[in-house]
Amino acid sequence: MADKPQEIRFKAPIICAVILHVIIAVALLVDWPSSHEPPQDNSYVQATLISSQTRTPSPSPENDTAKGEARQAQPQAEEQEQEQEQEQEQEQQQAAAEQQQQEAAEQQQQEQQAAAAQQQQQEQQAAAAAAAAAAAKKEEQQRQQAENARQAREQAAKEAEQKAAADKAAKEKAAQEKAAAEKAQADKAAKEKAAKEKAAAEKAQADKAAKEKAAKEKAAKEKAAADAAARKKRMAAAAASDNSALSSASGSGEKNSSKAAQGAQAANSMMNVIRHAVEQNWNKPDNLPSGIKTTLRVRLIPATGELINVSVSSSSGDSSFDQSAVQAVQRAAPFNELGNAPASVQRQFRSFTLTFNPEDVR
Amino acid sequence: MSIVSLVVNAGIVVKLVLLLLLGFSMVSWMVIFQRAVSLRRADRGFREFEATFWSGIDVRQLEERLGDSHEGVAAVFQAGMASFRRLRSGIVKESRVVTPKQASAVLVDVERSMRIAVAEEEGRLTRYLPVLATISSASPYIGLFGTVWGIMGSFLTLSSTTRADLSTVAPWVAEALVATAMGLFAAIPAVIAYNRFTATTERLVLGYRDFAEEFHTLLYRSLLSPRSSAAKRDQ
Repeated sequence: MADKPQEIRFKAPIICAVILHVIIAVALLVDWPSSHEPPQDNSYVQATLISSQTRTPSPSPENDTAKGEARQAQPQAEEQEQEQEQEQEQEQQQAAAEQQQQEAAEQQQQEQQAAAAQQQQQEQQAAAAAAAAAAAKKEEQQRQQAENARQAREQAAKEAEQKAAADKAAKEKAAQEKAAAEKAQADKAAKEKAAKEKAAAEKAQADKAAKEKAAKEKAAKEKAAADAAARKKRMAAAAASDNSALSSASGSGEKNSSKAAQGAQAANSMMNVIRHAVEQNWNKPDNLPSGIKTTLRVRLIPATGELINVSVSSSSGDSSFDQSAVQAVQRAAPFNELGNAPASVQRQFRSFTLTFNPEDVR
Repeated sequence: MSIVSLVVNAGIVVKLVLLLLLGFSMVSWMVIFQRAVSLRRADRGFREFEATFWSGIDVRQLEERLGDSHEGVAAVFQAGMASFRRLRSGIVKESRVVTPKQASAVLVDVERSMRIAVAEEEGRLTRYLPVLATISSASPYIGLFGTVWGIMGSFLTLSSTTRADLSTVAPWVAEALVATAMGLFAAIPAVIAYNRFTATTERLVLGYRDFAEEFHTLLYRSLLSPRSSAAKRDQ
């Protein structure tokens, strides 16, 4: 008699049980996808790409070997950049030295011109028209001489023959001095004044190489001291000219390498694209021995990215592994992305090497 | 690669096993809910009855209050009362005085009827618990059977393929293991619930038996006392 109510009471438990199971099922269905997605993106075996830099105007021949792996290429590029920076710094220093030198030369010329002008004034004041004409002539000569001296100095700086230039300069100076002395025969006192003024002007103008200039000026006046001063100047100038010659050379090299660096970036991204495509198509064989590695030489049509030829340049010793690598390249073959790349990059991909190294992955 | 795909891709035997286990799980939860409700009710009823019984209420009043529908300890009480009243009225009809011999004969009868009532109640309390016991002990084995069957099939298939690495074996094993998981899923709640319900039932039945003993003593004293007709509690 008490069974019936119990039997009836089963309705609610059935509903409860069904609801419970449905809830559990829903929880399972909802939770699983989110917790299963992350581990799906396993990284595949990487093939590292070697770019053959033979076509790029690389200054150092060791780049080819040192840039073996794409991973090493970056440090190499950084080194190159560092070198470039160093070169730039050197160049800047040299440029500064040259500037100083030039300033010194210019100042000398200015001084000479100033002296000439003063002489002219003196002549105008004192001498007759004929004397003035002669002075004008001589002034032109002086200018020519100054120009000659400048050219000579520049040549000397470039040819690293500073000794001769210094000697020349000294001689010229001496000659100028003599000429001035001859011209200024009329008033000795005026000449002395001019000389004093010259010295004052020199001191005022001299900023950086004041001492050297003063020494030079003095040397110009006193021939005994001239030798020592000339020697000093010659040594400094020789060093400067050496540096400048070097810097000009490295400057041109730097231009080339900066171009190459720009191209290298584009080439690197292109390389990644190709490497990715090859990785995707690589059917890695099982049971590979450790340390296995094979290098392929790939030749493409630069404009279209079509494969011309792929050959094993450095075999791993395992022919099936080599074959799998070759097949991977062949399967990935038309690298259409290369068609969009700039021409300079395309040229680099005419021929390049790929290194397959399954141990790179983990 | 979700649970659903595993189940869908499983073999027919594994699917059947999973279906069976799902049914088991359903039934076990049904029983769990039903038993939980009914045992809680029995427990509450027992406590309430004891409280009213020992509160000094007249037995007749208590009997009237309980009425017709009764289960649990009330059934034991009513069985005892009915038996006692029937026997006592027979004795009183024949002779005015109840001899100790007659009294003990009556009480043996009452005791028996109450024992029967307790046994009935115990049976009612423990009803469906064997289902839980069966599910809890059988479903892991059934799940295991599904797993073994699935792995067997996977190995048979593997033998026909040339390459056998983890990626080809893993889905099969996962598929097969779903059956074991399902078996455990059905078994674990059943085991826990079964143990819990058994403990509760035992405690209740023990309480019934204690009550029966006490009630029996009470009836014996009232029978031997001078004013036996009252059948009152003398405490």
